Amino acid sequence: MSSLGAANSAPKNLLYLMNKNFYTFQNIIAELERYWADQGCVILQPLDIEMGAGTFHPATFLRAIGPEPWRAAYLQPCRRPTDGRYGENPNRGQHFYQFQVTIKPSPQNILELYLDSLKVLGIDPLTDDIRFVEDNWESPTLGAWGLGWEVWMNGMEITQFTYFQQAGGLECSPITAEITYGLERIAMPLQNVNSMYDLIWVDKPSAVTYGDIFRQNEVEMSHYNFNHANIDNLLNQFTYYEAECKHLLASSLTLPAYEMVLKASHIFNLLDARGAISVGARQNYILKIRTLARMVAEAYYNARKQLGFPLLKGST
Amino acid sequence: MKTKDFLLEIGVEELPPKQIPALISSLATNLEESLKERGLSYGAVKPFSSPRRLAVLISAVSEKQPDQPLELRGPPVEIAFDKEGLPTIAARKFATTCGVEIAELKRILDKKGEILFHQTIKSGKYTFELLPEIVVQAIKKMVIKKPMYWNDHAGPFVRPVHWVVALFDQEVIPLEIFGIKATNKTFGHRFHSPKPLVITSPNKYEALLENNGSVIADASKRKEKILEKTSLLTQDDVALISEDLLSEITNLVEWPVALMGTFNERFLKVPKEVLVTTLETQQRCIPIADEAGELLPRFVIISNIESKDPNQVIVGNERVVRARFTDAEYFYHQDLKNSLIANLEKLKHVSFQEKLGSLYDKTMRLKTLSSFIAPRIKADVSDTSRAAELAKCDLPTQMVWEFPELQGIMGYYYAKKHENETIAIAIKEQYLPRFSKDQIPATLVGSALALADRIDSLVGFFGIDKIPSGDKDPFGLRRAATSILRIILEKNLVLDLKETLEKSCTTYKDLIKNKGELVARILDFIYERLRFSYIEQNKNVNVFRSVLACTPTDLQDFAKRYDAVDKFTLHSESTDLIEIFKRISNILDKAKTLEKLKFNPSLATEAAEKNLATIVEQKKEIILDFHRRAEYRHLLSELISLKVPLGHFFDKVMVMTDNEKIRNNRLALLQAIQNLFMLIADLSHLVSG
Repeated sequence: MSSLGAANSAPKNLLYLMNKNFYTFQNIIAELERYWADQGCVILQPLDIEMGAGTFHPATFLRAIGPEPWRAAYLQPCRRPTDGRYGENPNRGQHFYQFQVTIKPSPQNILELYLDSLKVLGIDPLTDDIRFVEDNWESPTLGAWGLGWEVWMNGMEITQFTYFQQAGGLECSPITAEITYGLERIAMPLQNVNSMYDLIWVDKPSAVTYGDIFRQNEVEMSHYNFNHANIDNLLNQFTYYEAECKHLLASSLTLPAYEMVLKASHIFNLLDARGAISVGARQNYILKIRTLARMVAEAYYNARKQLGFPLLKGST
Repeated sequence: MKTKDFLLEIGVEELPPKQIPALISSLATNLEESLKERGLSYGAVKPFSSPRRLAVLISAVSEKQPDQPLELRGPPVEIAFDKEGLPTIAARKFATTCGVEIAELKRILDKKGEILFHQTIKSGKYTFELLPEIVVQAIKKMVIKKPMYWNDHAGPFVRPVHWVVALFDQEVIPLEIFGIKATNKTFGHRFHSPKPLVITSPNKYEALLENNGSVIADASKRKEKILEKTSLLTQDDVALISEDLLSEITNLVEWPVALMGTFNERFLKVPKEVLVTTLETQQRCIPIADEAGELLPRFVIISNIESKDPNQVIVGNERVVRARFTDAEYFYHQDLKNSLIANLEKLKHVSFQEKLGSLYDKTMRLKTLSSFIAPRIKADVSDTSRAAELAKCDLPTQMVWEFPELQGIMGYYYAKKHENETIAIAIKEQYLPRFSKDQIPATLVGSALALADRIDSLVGFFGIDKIPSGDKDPFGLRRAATSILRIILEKNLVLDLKETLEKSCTTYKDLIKNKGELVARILDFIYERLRFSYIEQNKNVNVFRSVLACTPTDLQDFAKRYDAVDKFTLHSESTDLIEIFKRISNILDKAKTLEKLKFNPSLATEAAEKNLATIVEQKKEIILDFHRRAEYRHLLSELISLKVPLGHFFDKVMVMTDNEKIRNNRLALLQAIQNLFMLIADLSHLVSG
């Protein structure tokens, strides 16, 4: 990374013109995938179900449970209907990207591994002020919590780092380290732009921006989330997925049951955006989803146990 | 005695900044206790702490425990030797325990008779041998709020541990904790000095880290550096840095570097509290004001590195601040589109407490209660009522949703648009005082609202049995009671608490039960807080109790009585008078005169009795008058003047005479006198002499 010292002193938009050390949005994804593949991670693809955070992907939530070792990395589009701003806010949207790394047990040098991944993106910690600021993570719907940090780069939160302590109400052992990169937030300072919609997704032969790809989606989805989603229908769907989850668990179909949890969770988020959930009822919905997540977590643990914790065999 | 310096350093992943002060003090205390337990003496204890390390340097630790004489008592001689005088198994066992031949054992006389005895000197252990357990014990006993595990379930500790330095002079103490062996190698700054640094002796630790490791390990020194570097940047302007923020920033960096960032002046139109809160709590940056206290469009960033390109750090921070301010500005303008009162309806859907209704319900109660309080404390009633109506209307705004700590403050800004200044200020002041040393409301309308808010909460939560116990006070009721006391006392308000609590109970309608008993319990609770504050001010607890026994419900009156009785206890006659009062109380207690008796002058037989009755009759009106005017010192002087006739009375007159009529008449006289005393306090709580 020594080449960066000199290059970094030039403004970054100039770098773009010079076409040197410039990271397009898709470059960033590709670099992270390559780097974590080199660390022995299974490179997965996004799950094809709506979710509020990469943590909900079974590759994180379920794999954090039980004794089996695990290393994976994947991109995950996230949906948070309440964060929609009709494409008007430069930093916030109802749809964004996370790059997620999950490793169990957490290696002793996990922070160094993470910092090296930043260097791969051209971030030099002797130029940019990188800080680990306490931020303890808790997901009331997943019955999960952990301790860790938000990672700051010059005051911008670019990553959430968590040592899982509990998932689905079960104590974690060994401990999973979860690294969640907020890709838009990392890309903005790297490309020196002030709005995520100005991010360059691909630069050649002609530039396509994040806005070119997603702004219309932001506007239309914001309208849908806030004003059009059919409340009665969603309420029914929630009840259906809740019942279906329990029904599938009774048939020992753990993974399909977990998909129902994800569906119910997204529907809850939509109802929330529609303002259809009162403060009192809110807690009740969260509790319902947590109950499902706990049941699935326990069933998943038992299912893996019955299989003899297959991934333990590969570890030494 | 020979001594050596000791050093322990635990190298960790970045610690929670707010916990660091407690963590390091816990570690240092534990080490000291651990040394003391083992009879080891030591000199100065110097703690070091930073985001990545907790260290303690203890100088001049004795090298060895002191030798101790040891006396071993064995079996009685008659058991130790048989009839032939040959040693038994008991004697042999004891000799083995002592490590000597049987012949070397002495005999002494004990309570049980003659026994075997051995005296020796237990030589103290070397500190170096004891240190592994001392260190491990000290670390394991640390108080950790949220301990965690890592890797293959290593832990528990605050954050994962990476290295441990444990030195006794130049020697590494052989110990292992969390799977890590202690060495003499520390690590400097995460980015500036990633390679190990060898510590040749404990007292070189601090300098080594500062000179070769880019780490200022002494937190207080780091704090000074931050202030120094900040003031170099701000020059004549004022850095708005609270002790909390300073401490947090200090514990977020190992090598502080101050940089100046700026933001667009247009954001200064957003209420300054919003900007300050954003900078402080979200960015841990330091806001700057001019000498007049006006916020300036600049802020200080405390970075953790000497950046190759400081401009990158500044630009990055400015980008985040701009984005956050843009958001805040958006919320502010959105909120301003509606009048504050338009939010009142929304409060119907926001719960205050499950069993105590919505915030709308609370608002309606506040309106009634604060309108009851207002005229009593001479606050404008219509302003108070309007302020109460608007009090909680800022809670559903976007800004308060985003920054809950700005409740009341945003209400102030939003109210200013349609309401008069008094109402707007009262909305802000309703939450004062927010913490123990905070200011109290400056205005009377604000005071009325603040009192109503606290009283409503006390009555509500007591009413559904959510009463603080031990260190649990989830609804902040103790603070609420203390705030009520402070507002009333510091603003010299006259408010009958009992009457106000009763009024509050009626506003709850059927939501709470047993209202009569409830008021008494809450009064006790409030007076308990008052007692604590008296203790804190080193006031006389007995005087407090004597006044409390008369259950005054107006705090100003309480304070006046307290002062009078307190002065009275210093009076030369007080001891005698207290004794006489106790005598009266004892006689009345024993006689069990439950019904009210009436004194009849014609039944008085003795001169002393007649004399006392006449004087009491003369003084009664004067005393009652002083009582009405709350002139308690004069009242006590009058009571003192009863001392002599009372003395004569007890010398000459026997109260418990056989004649029932005469006896009851004398009891009646004493009862009348007791009642006069009780107009101010129950003197039997005072210690005489």
